[in-house]
Amino acid sequence: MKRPFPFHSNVVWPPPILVGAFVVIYAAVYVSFWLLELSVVGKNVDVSNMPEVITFRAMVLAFVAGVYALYRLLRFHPACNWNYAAWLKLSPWTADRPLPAGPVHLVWQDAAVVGMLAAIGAWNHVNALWPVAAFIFVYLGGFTLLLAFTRRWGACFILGLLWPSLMLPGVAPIARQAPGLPAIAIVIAIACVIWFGHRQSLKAFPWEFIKVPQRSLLDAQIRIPGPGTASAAGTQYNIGWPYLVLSPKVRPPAVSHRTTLALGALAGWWSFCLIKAASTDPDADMSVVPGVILFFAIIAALTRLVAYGARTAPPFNIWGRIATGRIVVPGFDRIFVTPIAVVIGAIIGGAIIKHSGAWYAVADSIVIAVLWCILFGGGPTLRNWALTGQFRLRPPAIGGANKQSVRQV
Amino acid sequence: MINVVDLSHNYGVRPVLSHINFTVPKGQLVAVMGPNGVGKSTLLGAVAGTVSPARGYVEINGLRRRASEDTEIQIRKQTVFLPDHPWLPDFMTAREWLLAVGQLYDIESDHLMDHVNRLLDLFQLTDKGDSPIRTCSNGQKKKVAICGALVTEVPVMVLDEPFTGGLDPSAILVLSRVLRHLADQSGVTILMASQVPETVEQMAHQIIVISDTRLAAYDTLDGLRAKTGCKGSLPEVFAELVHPQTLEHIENYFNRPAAR
Repeated sequence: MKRPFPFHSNVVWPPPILVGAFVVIYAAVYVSFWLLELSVVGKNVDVSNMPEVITFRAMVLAFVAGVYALYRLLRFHPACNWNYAAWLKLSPWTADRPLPAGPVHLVWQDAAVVGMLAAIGAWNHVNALWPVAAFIFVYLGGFTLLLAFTRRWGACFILGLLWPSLMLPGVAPIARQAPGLPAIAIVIAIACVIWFGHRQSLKAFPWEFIKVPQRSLLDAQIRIPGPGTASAAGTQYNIGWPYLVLSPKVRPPAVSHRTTLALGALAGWWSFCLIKAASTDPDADMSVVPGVILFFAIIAALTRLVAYGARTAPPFNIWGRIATGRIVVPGFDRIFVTPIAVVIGAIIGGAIIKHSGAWYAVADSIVIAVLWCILFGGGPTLRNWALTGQFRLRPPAIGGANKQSVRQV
Repeated sequence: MINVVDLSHNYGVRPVLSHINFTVPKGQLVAVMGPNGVGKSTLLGAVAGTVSPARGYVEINGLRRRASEDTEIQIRKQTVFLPDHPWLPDFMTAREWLLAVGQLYDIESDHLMDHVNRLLDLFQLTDKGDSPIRTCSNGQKKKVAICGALVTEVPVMVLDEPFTGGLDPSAILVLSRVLRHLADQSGVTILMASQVPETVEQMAHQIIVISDTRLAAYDTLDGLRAKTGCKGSLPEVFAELVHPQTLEHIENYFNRPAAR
């Protein structure tokens, strides 16, 4: 049946249980304050208009608006419901048709629901923008995550640049003022990117990376939580030792140079926006930034070492190196190169930031972007290490694997 | 084919293996024997890919281990390793685990399910096949691990002590017959460490003896007999190769007067 007009749907109204919960919670809050007002000696105290009470009401309304935004995504997006996705895959649905369970995009009922929350807020002396802003940010934020989940990386990259822009001075709303034109323009840009990304993700449906029930003959006939399905979903699955470590289906994928550069650019831009946002605070102490960068660089370097070194050991120990005169074992020691480069980069970068003067935020963002690129782009990749590293594989007993899930024969 | 070239290894100061060279041709079943702690598991680990040797290298069907991502993937598709102490996910049933292992090696679904059924029958695991592995006895777990190696149907098998770990006599008979059949009829190359001379004598095409970190001999049983000049059974030939004074020690033990 053809819809009478776009942006119309009868199914998106919030379910009665959500409405009932809101009515009960809000009535309870309302009655509590009314009783509090009655119990105060003197009768002239207007509890309802106290700033703390107004803020509390605003938070309740914002929370409810956020829950409604989440409901809109979780209930109607196929990526949030695998059974729905599986059914959709078998149906004749195509991306140019409306989603059969109801639209994920905004419809006039959304405006009605959020408008009602705003009206309730206005009636109770709450700034009507609270529920509206909460709905928009949860909805757009959730949609951004769903685009990442459905692997629309181009849209995600642009969104990754747009979101932190809202923190920049001149864009972020100050105190309790309404957002200015730049903020509104950025939010509109975010909405547009999400819209196009969403259309792209629907065109790419069915998403093969999402595990749907009964995908193969084996899945259909017996329950197999094995690597065939797990690898398709990109998950780790413990199939025991040594099959897991000697598997012909090596799971850690290599991070491409393009991805590394994109992530580095995003990390740099986020840090630039954060520094700029923090610099508006007169009490902010920016001299700690190099130290913070060094701290996180050390943590990142150690995390990388742990990720690479898990269940592996050098081919021979330090005494063996000394005895054989092979102090450096290039095939193994290469895992130390990138972590050491990250830490040295953080020390040098910290010195540059300290002497960058007015270019403080720019220097900081460049240093972070470079460190990020070294961390993820520095060799060897996890896949290359797993397949060509000169190490000794340790069985779970000493390798730290999950002893609850595997047992020695 | 397995080709081991100038392989040496040491974990610390003490050398474990020194300049080991040998080739196992396609379709041969070769047993590795040696005293306890001589480095048999290290050698098999190096062939299987769990140990990166300090010097030398290993080639599987002409591809050098850990030389590049592509060659290593190719090798892994052609090789299976059964360690002396495998670790099994005890929350899975034997059947689920075997199917999962088969999926790792891209065995076709129908054939895989049929093969798993036959393996469970063969090793008398039909009753336990659909119970979690944690409910199996040690011997049954060892059988499941062996089935895991067999279900992969790869052309190169590296087996570390497959006959130990609580296998019952019928399972030992089954395994020895199956391995010999795979080598003779299907051209599977098998390198196996074993300390059970009766089984080795019966099934191995050739025997590698490692002693004092070096390859002491690599020949057929008859070849080893000719080399040592000992006409006896494999344990006697082995003793002659590795511990020539063994028989003398036995004599001394019984003939020396006990100290009062």
